[in-house]
Amino acid sequence: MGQTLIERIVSAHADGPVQAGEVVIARVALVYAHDGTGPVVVRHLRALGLDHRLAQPERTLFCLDHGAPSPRRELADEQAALRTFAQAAGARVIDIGEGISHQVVAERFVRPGDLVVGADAQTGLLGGLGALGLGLGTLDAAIAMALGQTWLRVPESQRITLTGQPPMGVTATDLALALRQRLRTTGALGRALEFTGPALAHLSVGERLTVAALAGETGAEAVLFPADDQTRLYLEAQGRGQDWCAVAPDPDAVYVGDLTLDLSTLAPLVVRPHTPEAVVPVQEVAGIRVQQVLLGTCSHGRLEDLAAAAALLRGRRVASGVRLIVAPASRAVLLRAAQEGPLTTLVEAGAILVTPGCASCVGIHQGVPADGEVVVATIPRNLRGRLGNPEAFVYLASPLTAAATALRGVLTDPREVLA
Amino acid sequence: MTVARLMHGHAYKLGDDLTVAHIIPERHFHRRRPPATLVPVLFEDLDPTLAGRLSQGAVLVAGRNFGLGPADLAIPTVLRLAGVCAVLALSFGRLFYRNALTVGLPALVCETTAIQDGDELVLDLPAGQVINVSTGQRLPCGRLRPAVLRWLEEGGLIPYLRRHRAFIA
Repeated sequence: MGQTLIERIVSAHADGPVQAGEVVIARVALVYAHDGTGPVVVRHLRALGLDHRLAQPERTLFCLDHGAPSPRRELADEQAALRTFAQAAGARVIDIGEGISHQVVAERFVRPGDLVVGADAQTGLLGGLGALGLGLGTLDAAIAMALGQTWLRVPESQRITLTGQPPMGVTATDLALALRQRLRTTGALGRALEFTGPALAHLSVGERLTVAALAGETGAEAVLFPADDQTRLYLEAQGRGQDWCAVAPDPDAVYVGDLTLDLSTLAPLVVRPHTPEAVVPVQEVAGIRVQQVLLGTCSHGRLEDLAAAAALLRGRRVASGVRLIVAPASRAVLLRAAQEGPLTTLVEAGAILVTPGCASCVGIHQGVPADGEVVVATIPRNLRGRLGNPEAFVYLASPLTAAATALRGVLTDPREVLA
Repeated sequence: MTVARLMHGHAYKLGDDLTVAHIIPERHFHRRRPPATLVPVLFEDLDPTLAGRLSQGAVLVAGRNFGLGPADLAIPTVLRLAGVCAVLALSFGRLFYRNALTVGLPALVCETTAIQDGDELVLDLPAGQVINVSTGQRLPCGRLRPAVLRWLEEGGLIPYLRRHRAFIA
């Protein structure tokens, strides 16, 4: 019997072939935590008596991306303690300003087919690169650091076939939100979503990372793309062409479900406050006044996202009364956006640039909205209290919808501006 | 309840979409409360008689999405202390699933629809099979690899790793 993508990846990290439904021990190719989870991971390592020797120090990362740069002395102390621990253990520190953990590991460390453990819920976005990113708790991350192994139930897979070309104004965000509409927040619980179909040939790794980041809200254990020519192009652009290998399911793999999404039928969508299930067409909420727009983060902070927003805003100004905050996903993205023009365009349009990192999204600092304010944000999840204020109203949308909204000052269908 | 490779118990049938707040109502839950004191309030809002009826070897048999909601190792720990030897469901909340196995409570994904309340069940963990003795049905529930079986037998992942410092079988 053929293997699904996830069965192949887990089998390559276990002692022999695995099947969906089995609970197995698997080797870990890379493990990381950030400055929110890292201190707890270190406490678990000490409590387990496993803090003296990490299994793969050079493949163990502490990414200082949440309080970046630190807004409080307590956080600064914890970051300092993580640097000290990492140095003693031989682990790597991805320091403040380098970017969001998931983006940095996608750019520099993760290979297609890798099994990766991250102590953060968004780790699954690595599925865009054809890698299995398991977003686990701090105890599991500590075990992965100490032993170089983790455990998991191999999920059954549901196949998602993508066909057609998206119309103007429709992005990878809308594709992922359309999937959320169909699967709701529990429709993929315990399952892996595996993408295939002719439309994949036109879907860049950046777009795939976006889809994988957003589609995780269906409850899926994993959201996986094959590693193909697009993946090769991405890795070559990072100077890592040698890390590419094809990763694909067997033709006779067994799936528990099949769903086809025709991209040509999609329209721009948003998620209303405060639940990941409240997906509606932008048109349904158009006209709502907005005080803040957040463009960037791990789900949409890549060059193509900033470039798409910049193209819409070129030669124009953000509406008065709107703060447009731009959070690039990494220093590498920021540098390219500076070199290639989108950054200048965005700043000329009135954008406020913040440190590459997670701060604006998790509500630590760098853009906490006021009570009653409405925010449109290109973030992975918009639960109440996201961005740091439970009395604010956060809509989740694509970079194009965010840019069109910043321009008009009200929630706007980007097709109106692009036409 | 100590987990064994072959376990024998009776089904306590539950419904779909039970959250962690259905298992232990939020008003009772507090991190500093010893888990054993929470046994009498298990499922209080769902069926106030259920906690009193749970006996050693109880097998909870749920439908879809059992244990949705925020993570806490205490929740499956309380179920173990109440005598629950395993939880079967069509699907589990992600965090509950991992927490259950971590504290040594087998959570098994299984086709539970046909199991009736009170059915006599045998759980064959190495074979990944639930045998419904009352009906003769055999239901696959996924094989647990030997290291997983061993940590379940030894009372949970944390004491197991403190003892062995490795995933030994």
